[in-house]
Formats: sequence, C-alpha cells, structure tokens
Amino acid sequence: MITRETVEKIAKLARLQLSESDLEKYTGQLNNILADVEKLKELNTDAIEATTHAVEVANPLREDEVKTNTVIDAVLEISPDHEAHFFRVPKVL
Amino acid sequence: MTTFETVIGLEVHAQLKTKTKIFCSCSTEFGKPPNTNTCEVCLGLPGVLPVLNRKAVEFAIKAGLATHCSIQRKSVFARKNYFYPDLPKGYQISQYELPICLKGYLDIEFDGQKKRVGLTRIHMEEDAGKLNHDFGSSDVSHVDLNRACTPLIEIVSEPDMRGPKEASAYLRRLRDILVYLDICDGNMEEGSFRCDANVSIRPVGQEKFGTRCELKNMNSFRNVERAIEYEVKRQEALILDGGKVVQETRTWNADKGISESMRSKEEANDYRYFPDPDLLPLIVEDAWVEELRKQQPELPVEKSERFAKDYGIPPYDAEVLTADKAVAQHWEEAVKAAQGTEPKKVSNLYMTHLLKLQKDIPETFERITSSIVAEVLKMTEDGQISLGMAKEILDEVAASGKAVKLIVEEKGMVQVSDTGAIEKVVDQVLADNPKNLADFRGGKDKLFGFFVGQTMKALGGKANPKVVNDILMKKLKG
Amino acid sequence: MELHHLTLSQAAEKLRKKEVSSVELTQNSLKRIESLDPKVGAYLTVTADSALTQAKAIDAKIASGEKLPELSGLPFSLKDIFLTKGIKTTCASKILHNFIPPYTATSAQKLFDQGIVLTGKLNMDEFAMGSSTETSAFQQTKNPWDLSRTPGGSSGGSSAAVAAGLCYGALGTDTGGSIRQPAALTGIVGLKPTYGRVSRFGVIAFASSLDQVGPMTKDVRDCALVLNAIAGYDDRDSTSFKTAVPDYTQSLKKDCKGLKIGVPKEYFIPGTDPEIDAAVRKALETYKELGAEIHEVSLPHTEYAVPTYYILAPAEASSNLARYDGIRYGHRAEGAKDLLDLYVRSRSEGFGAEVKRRIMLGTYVLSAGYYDAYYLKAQKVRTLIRRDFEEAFKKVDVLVTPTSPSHAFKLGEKTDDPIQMYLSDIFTINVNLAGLPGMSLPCGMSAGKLPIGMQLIAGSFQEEKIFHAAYAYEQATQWHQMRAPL
Ligand SMILES: [Mg+2]
Ligand SMILES: [Zn+2]
Repeated sequence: MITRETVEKIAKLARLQLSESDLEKYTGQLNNILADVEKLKELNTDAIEATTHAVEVANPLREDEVKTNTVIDAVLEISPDHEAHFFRVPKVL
Repeated sequence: MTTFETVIGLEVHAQLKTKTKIFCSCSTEFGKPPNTNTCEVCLGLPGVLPVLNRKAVEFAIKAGLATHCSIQRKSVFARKNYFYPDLPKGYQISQYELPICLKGYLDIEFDGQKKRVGLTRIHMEEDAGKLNHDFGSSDVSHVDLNRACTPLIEIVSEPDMRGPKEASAYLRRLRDILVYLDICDGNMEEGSFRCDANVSIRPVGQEKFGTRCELKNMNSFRNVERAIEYEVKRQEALILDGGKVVQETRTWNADKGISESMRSKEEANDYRYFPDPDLLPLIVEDAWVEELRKQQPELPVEKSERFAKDYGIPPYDAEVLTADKAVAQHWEEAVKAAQGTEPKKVSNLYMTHLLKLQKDIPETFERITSSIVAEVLKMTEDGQISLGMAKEILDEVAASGKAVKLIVEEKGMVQVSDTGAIEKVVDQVLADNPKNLADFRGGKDKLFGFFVGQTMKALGGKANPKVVNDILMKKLKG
Repeated sequence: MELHHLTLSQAAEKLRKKEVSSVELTQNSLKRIESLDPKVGAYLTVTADSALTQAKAIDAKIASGEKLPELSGLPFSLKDIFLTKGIKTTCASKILHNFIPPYTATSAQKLFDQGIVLTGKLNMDEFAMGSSTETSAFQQTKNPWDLSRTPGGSSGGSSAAVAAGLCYGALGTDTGGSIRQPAALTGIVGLKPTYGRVSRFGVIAFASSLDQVGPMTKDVRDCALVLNAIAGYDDRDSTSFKTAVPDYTQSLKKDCKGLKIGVPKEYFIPGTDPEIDAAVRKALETYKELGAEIHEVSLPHTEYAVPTYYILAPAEASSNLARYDGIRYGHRAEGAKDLLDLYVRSRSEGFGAEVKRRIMLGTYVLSAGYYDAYYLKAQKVRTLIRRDFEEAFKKVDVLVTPTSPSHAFKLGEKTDDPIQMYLSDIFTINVNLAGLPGMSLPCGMSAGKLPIGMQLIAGSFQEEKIFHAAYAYEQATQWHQMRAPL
C-alpha cells in the first residue's frame, strides 16, 4: 500500500508538485495499478534472466573523430533564459 | 586513552584523453567559449541517443590492464537519475552493476615501505557540465555544457589505506600510470584527475569500520593529505567528546584549511539506477583485450627497475628519470647514442641540469634532442670542452634552438689542450703567487685547487682540466 | 475516384503518368485539411507554405525528366513526436509548446530524401501516453467514422488524418500499441516494425526499450513502400540493427499456400467485443481458403503483459522526461524563486495529468528498495513473454489476433479510469515487450459502422511474412477500400 506521504516523497523526487486533490487521486490510482502488478508475483522468476533489450546484440562503437556541430545557436535562441552563450538559472548554492 | 586507526578508500575520476566525447562526436578541447563544444546529444535535446566512443573503451581497458584488473567481457551502462543544471538529460550515464574492470591492485611505496592497495573496480561514465557562479549578476548561475559528456573513468579503491601519506602515494602512483598510458593528462588543478576520499576511523583492533565521511574538492596531492589529516582529527575529537560521526559529504576549503559539511546522506538523492535502454551491453572480446595488452607500454615502476639494473644508475636517479615517460625515453636514447659515456654521467647531466632547465624552458627536450646530449657529452669526454661549457651550450640550444657547432664557434669554445700554452700560463701563475707556492710545498695540499682555479681563470675557462692538472702537479712539485 | 481517396501508390502512379502534379495533390490535401480538420482535429501544425514550395520543386524535377523515387511529391504528415528542423515539434505537451527543433529525425529525413511533401504535424497523446489522443494538451482529435468517438491513440492524429484522406500516409510511433490500435479503430493499415528496424534518433522518447517508428497508410502496399524508405541501421541509434533491408514490396503475394498461421488461444477471450471476435474468426476462414494452414498455439504469459508494461514503460519514461526541466528549452515557469522552484513549477505546469501519473509510477518503481520487486521482476517476466513467442514461431509463420478488444469508444468514456484505458492495449503490448513486428489491417465493419482491425505478428525481422499474409488477405477482401464518410 502506498501512502499519501510516499506519493508526496515520490513527487519531490520527480520534481513535481501535486495539488491536494491530485495527491488524493494519484494515491488511489497508483495503488490500483500496483495492485494489478501484484499479479506478477504468481510467477517464479528466480532462474530467469532479465530482458533489458528486445534485440540483444553487442553495442556498436563509434570512431573517435570530431564532427563540428552548431545547433547551440538555435538552441540558445529558443532557450527560456540565456546570457552571453550561457544558459542562465537561478543561483545554485 | 583509545588509539584510533584511520581507514581510507579513494574514488578517482580521471578524464580520458580522447578527441571526442564519450557519447557524441563533439570535441573535448579545453578552454573553448561556453557551450561551443556541444551538439544535440550532449545538450540533452529531445530524441537524441548516445553512441559509445571506441577509444574511450580502449582507454578504460588500458587502465584496467595496467592495474591488474580483470576486464569484463560484458559490461552495462546504467542511468543515474538526479536533477541538476549541469546534467542536461536529468541522468548521468554510468556503469553501475556491471563495470568494465573488476578487482585489481596497485603496489605503492611510502616512507620506505611497500604496500599493495586493492582496486574494487574501474567503470566508465560521462562527465557533467560546469556551473559558473561569478559571471554577471550575483543572483544567477550560468551553465556551460562544454564538459558535459566528456569520458571519465572512475577508479574505486578498497578501503586499504591507513593514513594520508599512503593515500597520496597511491594517488601519485595511479596518476603516473594513467599519464604513462597516455590516456589522461593527470592535471589535478584543471580537474582532469579528481579525487574523493572516504575516511573513517576505528579503535585499533576493531574489525568493523567506523562511519565514514566523503571528502570532496581537494585539487592537489598536498590538499588530499591536508584534508584527510584534518578529517581524522575532526572525527577523533568528535568521538572522544562522546559524539558520533554522521555519514555525510564534506567539501575541503583549502583557504581555511577545514572541511565543511555539504549535505547529510538522509537528504541525498535516490538515484534510481537502471540499465540504459538506449545502449546495448558493451561486449569486449578477448582478442581485443590481447591486442591492447600487447600495446601496453612499460610502466614507471618496471622502467625504473630496469634502468637501475641495466644501466647501473642509482635507484633514486632511475625513479626521477622515469617519473615522466618522455624524459625517460629521451634519457635512454641519449645513453644509447653516447656510447662510451658512463650512463651515470648521462644521468648526472639530467639530474643536475636538464630537468631544471626544462622547468624554465618547456621546449628543452624538443630542442635538445638525445643525439645533441650525446654529442655534447662526447665532446667533454674527448676533452674538447669542459662540463661547464657543455652546460652552457645546452642552455643556449634550449633557449634558441641553435646548432651546437654554431654555438661552439660563436663562443670560441675550444678547450686548450696545447701543453706548451698551458705550461706558459702555469709558470706565470706560480711566479705571481710565491707565498702560496711556498705554503703548498710546505705541505698545504689544499692549495692545489687554488692553483687550478688561477690557471683556468687565466685561460678563460677553456683549458682541458686534465692537462692543467697534470702540468700543475709536475711543476708544483718543482 | 476522388484524389484524396487514392492510396500512396495510386497517387504516385498518377503523378508518374503526369495526370496530376505534385502541386495539385498538395493543394488538394491542404484544401481538405482546411475544410475538414476543424471537425477532425488531426493537425497541430499545417506546413502549407513549405509544402507548396516542396511540391513545386518536385514538379520541376518531373518536368525536367528526372527519375524520382516512388514517394516523391506525395503529401505526407508526421506525428508531432518526430523532430523536424525549424518546424515546431510539441509532442502534444505544453512543456514543448514553443519548441523549434534544430535537427530532423532520421526516419523523417529519409522520407524527405525520398521527396515526400510534408503537410504538417499530427496530434497525439501527450508524450505518446494514452490510447485515445485525449491526453493531448492542445486539442481533441475525432474518429472520421464517427466524430463522437476516439481515433485511438497515441497516434490518433495520424490515424485520423489518413482515414479522413487529409494526407496519403503518416508516420506514427508504437510503444504498447500506439500505431496498431488507432489503425484498427480508423480502418487503416498500421505497422510496428521489429525493435531496431527503424532508427529512433530524433523521435521524442517515451519508453526507449519499447518505442518503435512505423507507417500508417491506407493499404498494405503503401505500408511496404514507406517501410522501405525508413528502415535500416542508423549510426546515431545504437539500438538500430545492422542488417540488410529487403524490398518489402517483393513480399506482396496473393496466395497463402503453405503459410502457417497461428491462433493464440489467449487472444480470443470473453472480454473482446463479439463483433471483433467474429470478424477475426472470419478472416481465419478466408486464410484457409487462400491455402494457409491454421494452428492453435498458446502464449501462456499473455495475461502478464499489461502489468509488466505498466512497470517498464513508466520507469523508462520517468527518466526520459527528466530533461524537460525548463533550463535549456521548453516551458519555464515565471518568476521562480530558486532552482528547486524552477524545476517543480516548470514541470508541474508543463506536464498533463497522465504524464504526471506515469512519471510518478515510474519514479516509484525505480526508487530505493523497490527496484527488484518491480523493475527487475518485470524484466524477467518480459523474458518469459519473449520465450512464449519464440516457441510459437517454431511452429508457425505468423500469428493472427484481434488488434483491440473494443471498437472506437466514445470520447471521455475512459478518461477517468486509467486501468480501463490501459486495457485497450491488451493485445498489442506483448508485441512491444518481445520486440516483434506487428501489423493491424482492416478486417471488418461493425453494425454501427465502425472499423475492425486484425493483428498479424511475426518473428524478429520477419516483416516480409507479415506483408505476405496481409497483402494476400487484403486482396481477397474489400475492407481496405472503405473510406470514412466525410
Ligand atoms: Mg562517478
Ligand atoms: Zn555533443
């Protein structure tokens, strides 16, 4: 059972703010979804390997060659706040 | 009173010297204007995907081989999730459960003792960007992502070190190796070789580890020692006072000489690691490891032992000469080129002169090639010039890059070996100093040096010292 | 036939025979969007000017006798999840309401290289999270067959636009059924290729290990043409697969002699609408007539697919969506008092309810102490689900199932009940978990004049078998010729 406090903690971790009514609603909904998920416990998976990728081959590797890229100018243009080629944020302590 | 034992484990982040970043093709060049070494991938734009740099993997394997690790056939990149403005994707891609290198060791020496320090693991990860706090207005920070996605290896030691000296000996050895492998430039001040220390204390004899603190922000070997010393005292005082050490991260303030608490672990992030679905497992075949093993250079310890043994130079000289790979190579080539000259003499020239010269003139070893060293030493052996002249010539080569012959001609540096000319001068010197001559003949042997000096001075320093000695000896005895 | 009812292939044919110009096709599409889209609500952005410029350029090339790829000059649209350089791309989220990408997705670029004319960007569920396109932050897309109903989701803008004849084809993405379910609900063909068949580079990520790009078209041949254009290895996507791309039009054969069709018994369940069940069974009869062998097979772990998916997809999503932080692009809250406030308010204002719900769920299942019980467990069950398919494909070439358990449902009908909504993907999710190719194609019409879709599933990189079976069925029936009454 997920409590309201847990939901609040998770929201903080995810950098989300939930209204009182959302908190209530999400607590209920998450509990319902996780109750469904309990079904997986029926299966004994001790000896089963986890699938992280549907198609498992070796990761391709890239050669160490520089490619110049200039998207930064377009990105700064659409950025919410920038100054002299920096992105700007409230003071980080 | 309880005596305590210090327990130290180190985590080193070493920036790899690849041309491009670990997951994109941006340049890793240092000192570029903010955000100019970036692309959609390292800016964390929507829809981008990481592609792993082969060179970065090779460098990690090289580091693992040099530290006796076992190279894992399969390793996996995971995501470490947390929010921070220098982390554009909201997660750092880092190897977590399955790193590329496991279980190695490093043999270190400090205060004349030898010790083996275990390595838990070496894993690969991407660096974060940089926050600039002193640009513009004081209520904002500025984000520069040039460094974001630069390849790092994190080298985690076992908690095997028992004091600050051991810790810095370990760090130096580790840095020398990485620099030798040419995979990291080892610059602590610029942050390409960074160290965090986990420090705890426990009563002597106790098995269980004490609560540890993590020390950060120590950007020199000296500061690592100082910070650990301070931390040990702080923890001792705390415990003796009846208090408890709290697990936390502390940052070293070098100006004040103290460490300060950053945040307690309770508030620390829950990183929610999971395998990065955008990258498949990294498979390193044995053949690749073997190929890299063949390419491994001789490391400083091995090289120093070999120099001492093969060339008969003192272990101290060998260690100094091998600390820098380029110097070691330069020296060994000079020894080979200067056949007939004692290696110890070659070593002396480096130890007493060239290494100092290099500090003033960084191009020293480019301008003074090994064959120039050999040439100049040969000239002294042949009595053509004095050792003093040799050093003068080398100084000039280092400063101007001029040819040795030209310098010799310009300065008229030809050593006088003509016995007739020297005899004439010696006769004059003896005539000018009758009292000293009498004293010498009366048994004051020390005055020999005086006569050598006078004779050399009269000859403008260009006389062959051996010839001067022989003539003086003969004439003084009368 | 009217221009807008043509398939891609038919329109291409007319273009080649110079019976029509690209400008005419484009103008016709744009006019149709202008008159009908206010009702359908498929488009978030219409790129009329650049489309006409593109069309003119193609016409000039045709006039000069240049030989062009088959898709050249044909009006085409993209789900608003594909990054298009210089053209706003929102993923139907407020958090990207002002986002102009500086680069183009590989799959979109491949289509541009073929000369398609981009007419616009299509509505979707916010960040592709939904099955009805109702979670879009901007507008409601309606089903062209019945404007009070959903076009499915998350690629509902794409399905609606193709079904309404607003464009000749579209790209969608499919994480748990988001191409196939809307295709079924709007009577068109939608293919989710094998994971790794099409590059994901430049496609806004929802759940990286499940997401796949695919065509949404009026018929099977069109689908093959589009897959030909977009498939293949991309050195910017490490999970794309280095294997040759066949010409899928070569697989379009009319008979099914020797083809072994598997019918997984777990997909024929009481919860499915009886009309759908009956339509798919009837299709199996057709296959028999075409010479196929029908075998019953079992995929015993089918019932675990939905809970497995509802751990894995939100977990990956919670991490993929961390980059929307209001710092470098996208929505930033006004007047944040500090950094934490900036993060929390930008994200809370920018994300809609369904996205937040999934971020919360994903964050929870990955958080300290729960990883093994949820995420790791789900990955292990994923292995069991994969193995079920591997076993089945030892015996048969393709599987036939319903695509969706229900017809297009009424707008608003399931919005308050996430679990009911999640169940609409019950037949499609397994395919993503196993990384397999799956296609939905029309196989019937309900009494209430709503399209019915059936799903064909094949083994890894066996899209050719799907095209073979799909084309043979399609040519033997008329369902693909039905057009929405607009
Ligand atoms: Mg690290
Ligand atoms: Zn980059």
